[in-house]
Amino acid sequence: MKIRILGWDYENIRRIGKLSIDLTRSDGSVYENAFIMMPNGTGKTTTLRLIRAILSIPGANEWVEKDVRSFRPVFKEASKGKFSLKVMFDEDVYYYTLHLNYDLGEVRYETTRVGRSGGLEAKHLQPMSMKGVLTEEFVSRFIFDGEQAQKTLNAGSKEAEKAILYLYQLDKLDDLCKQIDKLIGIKQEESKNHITERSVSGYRRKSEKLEKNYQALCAEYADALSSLKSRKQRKTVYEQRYQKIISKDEQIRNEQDELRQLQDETVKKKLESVGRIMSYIRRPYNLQMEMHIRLQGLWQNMQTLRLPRNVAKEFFNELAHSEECVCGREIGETEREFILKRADDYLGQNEFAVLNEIKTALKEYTADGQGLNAEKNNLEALLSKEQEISNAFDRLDAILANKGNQEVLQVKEDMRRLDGEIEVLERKCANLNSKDYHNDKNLSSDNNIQAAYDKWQEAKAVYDKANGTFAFIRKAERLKTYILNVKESAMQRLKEYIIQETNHKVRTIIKNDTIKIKNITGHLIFEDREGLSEGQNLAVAYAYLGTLFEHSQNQFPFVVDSPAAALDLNMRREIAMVMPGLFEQMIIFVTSGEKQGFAETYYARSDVKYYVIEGKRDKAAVLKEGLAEFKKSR
Amino acid sequence: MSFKITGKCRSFFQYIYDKEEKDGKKLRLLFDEYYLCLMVGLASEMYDENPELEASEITDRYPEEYRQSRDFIAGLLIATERRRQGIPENDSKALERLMTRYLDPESRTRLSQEGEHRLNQYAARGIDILMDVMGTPYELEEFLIAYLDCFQENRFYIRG
Repeated sequence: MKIRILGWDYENIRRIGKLSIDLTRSDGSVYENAFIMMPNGTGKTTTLRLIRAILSIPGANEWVEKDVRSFRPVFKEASKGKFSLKVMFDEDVYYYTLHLNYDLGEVRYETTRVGRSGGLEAKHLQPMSMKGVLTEEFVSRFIFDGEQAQKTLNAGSKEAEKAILYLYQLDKLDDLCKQIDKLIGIKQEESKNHITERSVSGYRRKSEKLEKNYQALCAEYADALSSLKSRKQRKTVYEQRYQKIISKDEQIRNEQDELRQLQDETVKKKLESVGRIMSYIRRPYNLQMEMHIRLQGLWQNMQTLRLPRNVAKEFFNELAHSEECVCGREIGETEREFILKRADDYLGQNEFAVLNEIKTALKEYTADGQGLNAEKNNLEALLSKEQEISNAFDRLDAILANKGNQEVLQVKEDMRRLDGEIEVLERKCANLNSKDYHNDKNLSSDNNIQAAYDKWQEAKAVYDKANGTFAFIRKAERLKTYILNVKESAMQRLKEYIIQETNHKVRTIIKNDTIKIKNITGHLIFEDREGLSEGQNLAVAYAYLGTLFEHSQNQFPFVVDSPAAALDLNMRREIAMVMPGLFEQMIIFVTSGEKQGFAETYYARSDVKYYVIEGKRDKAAVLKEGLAEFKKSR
Repeated sequence: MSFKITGKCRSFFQYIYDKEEKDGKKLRLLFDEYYLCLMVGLASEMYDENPELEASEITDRYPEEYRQSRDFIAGLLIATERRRQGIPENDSKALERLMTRYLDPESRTRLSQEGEHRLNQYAARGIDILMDVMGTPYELEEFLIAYLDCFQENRFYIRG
């Protein structure tokens, strides 16, 4: 992008009342060079500061009241001031105005764009391609003051290297690294823990341990199922074996058949008894005397209080919508609301019916706690009988054994043992396989497959997240290394080239001495010498800057304040000869002392605009234009 | 609202409940579990302020086996709440207000949402008491005998 300054306007700025500087020719083209002569104290530094504020972001937006008021005119009272700058970015013209309110200490921008998109906007706008480029640091390298030049060479200063960094935008690589650090921070924050290789390892081990635990429980369940199956099969074999033994003895067999029949009857009676007990229990008044007392108490109370009372809710609802109460008084909005609210305290027709049903039920039931008790005793007796039958079966085995058949006892004993083992295994399988471990405090990831699985998955998720974060961090760090390597490599190659080109320019400017830049490490390092004279310093600085700008992707105007004050006449002439070739547009602020040897070198050129701004103390400065005025001015 | 149980209730009765059971060896209705807990809660006059009820109801109406009991359950709720709230026997207005609060003739259960919720709270408290007093049951008949014994022996903190 090509950037040119087309001119600027002052209004109530320091010693300037109202002035306009126009750097364009009548055909619209821009003068390649401009000399603005301003005696000390007229406003050179002020002008540079204002131009910098307009071209850079955040510019004047960070100014406080003191900064704004520092531009207040000294020669008259003024509550407001204005500085406008006309800039061309390629083909687009931006007209910036900085409005200064001295009374309030406030500043605001206005931008008008002429070109592809036009119009006035109360903002500080920059072309899209310059966004992020025109920072204050960057702009100060072409809106230049003498101090900046000195810094380039001062040992201890990093200005020379910084200039390459900013002009060739290698600083953007540092910004990129900062963005990567920010993302790393966000990832760390999301994981809620500081992720390191060690912590990721820890999470992985925990996840693996829980996975093994889950797999072990699954295997345990499979074993238990297999054991259960084999025990049930063995029990069946024993039962068949037992029946075979019994069947050999007719008497025992008959007794056993009787017992089995009795057993079946007892079980049937038991189940019937259970059914009857449940029927009793489902009537709460049977369950316990206290329940019966409570229900009877409620009935008696309802009876005494004559509840439910006559239907009232409907009556009140109708009354609320009447104009007059039963007592004859008028019913207004307040009365209506109150009546409707209180109506809810009374029963409606349907509620009346339900309550009457409840009351009737409470009146008519007959508690039968004794019946329930009797049934409970019956059930206990049946359980007792069941046990007796079981004992009778055992006695039959003993009789058979006494007759010489010992095997039957052993078989019965084995069956009993198997029953116990089957029960334990069934319970174990139920515990292992239960999906409802949340509600059973006896179940945990140590003895329940679902609980173990959920715990493993939780730990795995934590590990995956940490590992993902860690992998991300590793990659991010690697990327940063690559970026910094690229920056280092680019910087090195740029330095080599710039040193070569600058040395070539210096040879042209400084003919009476051999000055060669050897290296750039923060500042310029010279071959075979440690320091230069002030004039040589400036000459080298301008040659260096000129090289930087010459090969930059963007073309910037070079605005400088008193470039030649410290140089001797010969050096001035050399610099003056070389400078136009270094920059596409130069705007040079000079004092009258810099005419000799420097400004006068330009008199023969046709591409120079001359202005003089001068004035007496306590009066507004006056603008004079043209070479004649420039030459005349002291 | 309708009838809701806590997870603890399912867990406690898991060995004596089987919805497919036809022979009567196990409880067939979840409402049986609910009712058994409810009776314990009402007997103790204590309910759970913040019960951890399951999100889904077990039923929104009384099963057939309990249709005849709905008036008694409603009556027991009102009688228990009246005692718990200390409403004097001669305060007909307060009693009537209590009844209108807990009853809803339009509802399938004849109880208002508040009434159903209060029953759920009593049932939730009931299972806590059951778990404190009795071990996990494995046989229905043994459980019923022990349950009735606990009522007879006032082991469910029955207030008389």
